[in-house]
Amino acid sequence: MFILLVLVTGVSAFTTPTVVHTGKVSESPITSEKPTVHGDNCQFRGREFKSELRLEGEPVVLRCPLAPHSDISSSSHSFLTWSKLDSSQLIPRDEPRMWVKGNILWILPAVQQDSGTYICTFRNASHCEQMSVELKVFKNTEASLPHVSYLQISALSTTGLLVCPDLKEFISSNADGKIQWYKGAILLDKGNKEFLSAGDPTRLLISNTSMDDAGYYRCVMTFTYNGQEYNITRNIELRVKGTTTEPIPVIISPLETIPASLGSRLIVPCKVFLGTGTSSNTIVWWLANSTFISAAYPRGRVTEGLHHQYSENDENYVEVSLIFDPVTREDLHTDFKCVASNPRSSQSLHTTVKEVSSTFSWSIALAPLSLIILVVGAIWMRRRCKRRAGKTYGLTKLRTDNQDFPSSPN
Amino acid sequence: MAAMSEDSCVNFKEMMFIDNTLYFIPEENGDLESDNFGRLHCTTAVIRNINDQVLFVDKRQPVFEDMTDIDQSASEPQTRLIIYMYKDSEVRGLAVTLSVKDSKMSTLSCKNKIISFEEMDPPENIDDIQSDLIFFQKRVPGHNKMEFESSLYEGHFLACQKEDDAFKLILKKKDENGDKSVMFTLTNLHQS
Repeated sequence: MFILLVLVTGVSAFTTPTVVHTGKVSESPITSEKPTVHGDNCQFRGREFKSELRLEGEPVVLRCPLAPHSDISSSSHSFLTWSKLDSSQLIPRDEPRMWVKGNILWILPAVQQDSGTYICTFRNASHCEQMSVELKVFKNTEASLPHVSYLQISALSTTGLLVCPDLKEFISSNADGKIQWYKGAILLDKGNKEFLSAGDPTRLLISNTSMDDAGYYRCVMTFTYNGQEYNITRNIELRVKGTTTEPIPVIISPLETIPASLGSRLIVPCKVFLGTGTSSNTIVWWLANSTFISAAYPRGRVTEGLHHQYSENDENYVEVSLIFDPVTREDLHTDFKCVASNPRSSQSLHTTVKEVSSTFSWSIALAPLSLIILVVGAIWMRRRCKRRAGKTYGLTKLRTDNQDFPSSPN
Repeated sequence: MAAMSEDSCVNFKEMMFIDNTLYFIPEENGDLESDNFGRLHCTTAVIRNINDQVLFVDKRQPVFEDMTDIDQSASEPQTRLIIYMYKDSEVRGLAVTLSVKDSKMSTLSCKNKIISFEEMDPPENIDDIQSDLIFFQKRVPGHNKMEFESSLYEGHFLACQKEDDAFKLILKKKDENGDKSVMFTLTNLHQS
């Protein structure tokens, strides 16, 4: 019994560190990187979302995401240090290419061996935090272009804009920085009519973008430090988007009034024309007296059909039907509206339901009426025949009188 | 005990059970509100400002960052905007919500004119003609760019503003004379 009690106690004692370890791991869910030796008491905040993808032989800056807007050096109660993941030594050791200024680590110039994970540690009297930043240094060759290029987009037939990105630290350090723009290997000098300066040297305007303008561009900034000149290159991949402008939706149907019989089932399609372009973000829906169909008819007597998108003869349409099951007298006094909407425009079309059974009853009433008219007409025709016979008789009498007259002169 | 206040009583309404759904039948004067925004389908896009910086949404405030293709692909949960389109009982531009999805869905809110991504799914229905979640997406005339006007604060648009070294997403009253900070390029991703 005593031995068993001792064993249980021992197991409990060993369990406790595991719990602590689990708690520590949960504090850093983003990365599975092991904490550095140096930061035993530091809370690891994870990896900076953005990697630095740079070219060999150029200046590189790594900005510590912790305390991004405060000047570390001015505060005597806090300090910030850098280290590389595979090394326990602080940066800079005796490396003349690296130094720390504020919350920024400078590497000038960078070499491929500098690639790796860098950890910045922010420490003050009360707490300590760490974050990691990824750096990858590539050879300055064509093969590196897909890795180091920034994607930028211009629309066809518009004035395009190219922006030279991520130069904040260098511009503030060197106000006289000159920037040269290249398309591929061709320098786009000031005489070029297609490419225009936008005042700000970090921007380049493309007058009337064409498909030929797509491809790789380069902006190169000259940076001088301690009398030594360095190039800072940013590669940009420009994609030219065909003018897939959103069409103005045109509602083709239904008609302004829809004939319907009370008690019958009725389907009214709302058909919208979307032009001949590619896919469109147009939505179509029905309203009854400015209320959604599902809200106006919770019992489902009137429902909205499915969103049906299709093409006819290379023209695009969307159809959403309004389904009555059945039509009631109430519908004759309801304002039904079909709406089509996209970022370009919103269109709507009103329609009303008209009863068609009254027309039918009128037809029924018309039949006996025409029959009566026919009968009356027939009777009238007979009377007309009798009158003609009367007239014939009159003529006979007149001839008799004429015969009597010649005998009187004798 | 004192008599209960009349306000604490519930008006009992006629109900009907149809297809496993309980409906409350609205009276003529209509105590029940009708939905004013109803969710339809969605699309996904990357949003860029006028400087071709990509909108990035993380635990911090949404910011615009210069991003390489590789960075953007690696940060897809933070850069892929899910745009839900809504039908509107009043016909004003295209009503949308903007969300990002990592482990959970977060939806953009401009409550009190402060931009934040609240951890919530875009609602199926919204019972109001205005909402801090609904923006009217409109194409800027003469440009291939979009702008987003708040349905809650008329004339206020999503905008990009520089603060210290960060380019932040804010809500702002649009300048009458050509305000480019409210213009955004949307690059459609695959339909989800």
